[in-house]
Amino acid sequence: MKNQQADRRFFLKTAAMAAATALAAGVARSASTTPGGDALPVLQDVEWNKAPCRFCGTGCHVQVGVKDGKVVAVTGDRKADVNKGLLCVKGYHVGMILYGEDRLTQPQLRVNGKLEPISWDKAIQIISERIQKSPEKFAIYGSGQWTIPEGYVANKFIKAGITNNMIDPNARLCMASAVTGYIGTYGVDEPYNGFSDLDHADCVILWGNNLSEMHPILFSRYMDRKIRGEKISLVDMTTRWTRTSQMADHVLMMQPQSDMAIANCIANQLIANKTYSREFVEKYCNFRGPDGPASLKGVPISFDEYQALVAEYTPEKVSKVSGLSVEELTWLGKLFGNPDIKITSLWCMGMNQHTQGTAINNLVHAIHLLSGHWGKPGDGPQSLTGQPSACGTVREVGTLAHALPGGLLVANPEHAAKVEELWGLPQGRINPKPGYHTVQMWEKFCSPSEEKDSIDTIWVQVTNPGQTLPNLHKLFDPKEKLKNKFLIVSDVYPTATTKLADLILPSAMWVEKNGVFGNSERRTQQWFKMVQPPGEARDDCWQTLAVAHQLFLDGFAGMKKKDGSFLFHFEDKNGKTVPVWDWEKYYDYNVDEFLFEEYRQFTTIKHKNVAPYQELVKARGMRWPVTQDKNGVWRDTAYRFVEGFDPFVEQGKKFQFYHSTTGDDRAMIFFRPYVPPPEMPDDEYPFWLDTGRVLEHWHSGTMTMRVPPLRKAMPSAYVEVNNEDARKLGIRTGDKVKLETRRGELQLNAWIDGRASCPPGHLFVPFFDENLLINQLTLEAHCPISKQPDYKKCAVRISKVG
Amino acid sequence: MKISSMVITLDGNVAEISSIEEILAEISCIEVGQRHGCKIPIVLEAENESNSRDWFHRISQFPGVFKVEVAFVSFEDLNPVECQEVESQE
Ligand code: SF4
Repeated sequence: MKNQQADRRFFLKTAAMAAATALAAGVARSASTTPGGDALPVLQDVEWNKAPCRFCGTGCHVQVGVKDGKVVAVTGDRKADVNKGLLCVKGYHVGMILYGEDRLTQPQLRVNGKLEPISWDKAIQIISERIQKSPEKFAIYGSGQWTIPEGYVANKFIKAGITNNMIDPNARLCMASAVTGYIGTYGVDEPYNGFSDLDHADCVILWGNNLSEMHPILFSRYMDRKIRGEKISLVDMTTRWTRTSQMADHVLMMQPQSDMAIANCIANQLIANKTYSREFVEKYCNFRGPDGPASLKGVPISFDEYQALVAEYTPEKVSKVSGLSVEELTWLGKLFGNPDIKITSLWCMGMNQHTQGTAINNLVHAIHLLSGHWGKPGDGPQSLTGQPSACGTVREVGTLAHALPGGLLVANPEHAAKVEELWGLPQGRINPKPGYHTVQMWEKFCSPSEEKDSIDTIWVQVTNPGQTLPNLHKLFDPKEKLKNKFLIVSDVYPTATTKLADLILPSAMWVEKNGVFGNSERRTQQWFKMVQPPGEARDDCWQTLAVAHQLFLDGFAGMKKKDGSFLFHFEDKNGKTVPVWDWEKYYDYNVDEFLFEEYRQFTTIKHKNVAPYQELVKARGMRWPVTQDKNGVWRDTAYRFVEGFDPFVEQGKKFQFYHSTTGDDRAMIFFRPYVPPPEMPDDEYPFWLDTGRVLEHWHSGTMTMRVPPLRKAMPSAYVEVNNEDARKLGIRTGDKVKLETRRGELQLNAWIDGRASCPPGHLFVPFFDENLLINQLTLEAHCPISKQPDYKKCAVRISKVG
Repeated sequence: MKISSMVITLDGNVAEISSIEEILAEISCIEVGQRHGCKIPIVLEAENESNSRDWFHRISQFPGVFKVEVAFVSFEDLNPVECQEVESQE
């Protein structure tokens, strides 16, 4: 036994060294080195297979090693263009998230306040009865962590089956403003560019984005160039000093919400100094002005009108709002006015979780378009996402209350007719009235059943709203006292949400099931099931299909197509019906492939063509639009709307915004005025409260708090306090303090100038800790267009306890 | 025993004069590979997962180390002497 262990140890060490050496040698050559061969560690009895990392929207690829039905090793995938074989510290632990000791393994029903195990048949029956009782009061609350097939099934279930459009995802809380920003500016969602911009930029500007902790592998791509002595600089525009600030060449410490004024100030200087790109603007852009606060498309304005509107944003005036010096603002104006450098702007929650989220997204696109810093590798604006498939499943599949797959809208009769045709539905089945967006959905769930528009049953899949919704005392906690409300939760571990659940369904996770994700750069990534889920845990996709089939058997009209067949009817190549509802036979087929290929038809409508499933099997993700060249080879697209990259751009056009809202192939340069935040510090609540993530934990900590080293490294939430403020208040690190907002209070320990530090008058609390729910204090005020709430700024007071 | 490997990236300014390999070589649970420019591959053989993470952090803090990234992780327990408890979340 001892000898066997010694051999095993020797093999593991040799394999480990080979993997690291290959990477050190490869990456040392160039950050943009083309990915290498497989070079997988040779380990006896270990079978390797590819999967995207389960955590963030970067979408690094890992190779997962399986032995005796268990994940035993993980290595960065050298063939992957995104991460070139390397992983961050969270990726290091990705294999362990499967093996927390309190995995949910059985369906459970709450009876007289206690959870009791029940069978899957009973659970499916209960959901089906609940829906049939009042289908109009049923909703699904989903996730940017749904796989594409899972989201597609849930979306079709609601839009074609239940027909009330009551489906919205947690991604509403994290990237809805990026979506409306892209649609307003380009007429179609999602970045035109990708991560390779980091290999070409001369200057990277972070707009409220802590890249080094939230997207470490992307930060690494930038830093590798810096270390090699390439001329590249980092500008960190931020409201608190973070690890990213430590590495930045320029830290611009701004006041919350003043990003809007700063962007307008840059635009003003570009025009005043005549350093805007006249040629780019005249050929490829239109101008748009405000038409009330909730206008996605704005109203046409002339260049002169635009010039007059931005003219008031002088460096002197904006300096007072933003806290940046006149010199810093002038420097930014000159930076964008320099046509000889390439500028990449990146953002994530700082700009999206914003009561003017759409507006600030429009403004950052605007300054890139105006200055002509657009469309060249390394030169353009790009939003990042926090969840692994916020783009793939939410934005592309359209799992939002107003959307349909492929970028279509329920309220557009032509779109609805197309969807009815592709889904084989009778005419008029698609309901043109959008369902509730997230905040509204939970407001209606927390209001009495007797109210006409209330929601009585919500099925939560792959997310944890009991921890992540804003203002929890209003949007989640009232459920406990409302008798007729029924909460169904499909998840992998107990969470803050399952505490109030009436029915809990145990789910398979990550490589316990087949899946497809779509990362932040339009990259669709496929993987296969590698290990069995524990106990009776089953795929979320199957769960929805099983309920749909039960409803079909019970005669529920919405679950039938025009020809009377089941809404999710598929046939295998022999013409036999695929029993997608039958768990025993579920993996006799690749149900994901049937669903994905059906979904794929929608993606061609708005030039979002995803690759065939079998092409994705071979690749480490492909960026849509994916098209076949004359030799039959499937090619992905690094840059949309740019000739030479995007196959849909007509020859000779150079740039073509072929989904332009004005129908003339032009992008929109928006003017959006600075609007102060709805709640600001005052005498009663004199501090700003900012919330966010930490390196160790992924979002609400459901997975990472089960990984002992991560839990030990960051066991509980804290409040970050500025040193000077702490001194005045007599607070020391570790002291218990009380935070109070108009919505709630919370006691937690103070951390003074810890790994990050707030400026005076600001506090920061991470949201990963289910025992210290900071979202009991946050504000549900949201962007009037995207409906995304602002978790980054509200007024709070702090006092020492005891 | 938990075995993993990492790529250490040295700060470009000090890479040439850094004697980090010597420091690392003194640590019994670390095996140092051949340096490529600013990059040094290492193998870490830690007692358990917590220990492995502690090392990850300590190495990140060494003078001249710019960052540490992961290349390979084995979850196989070659010496299953302890089992980490995770308290129930309910
Ligand atoms: S950067 Fe994101 S996707 Fe990549 S390994 Fe880390 S957590 Fe996973």
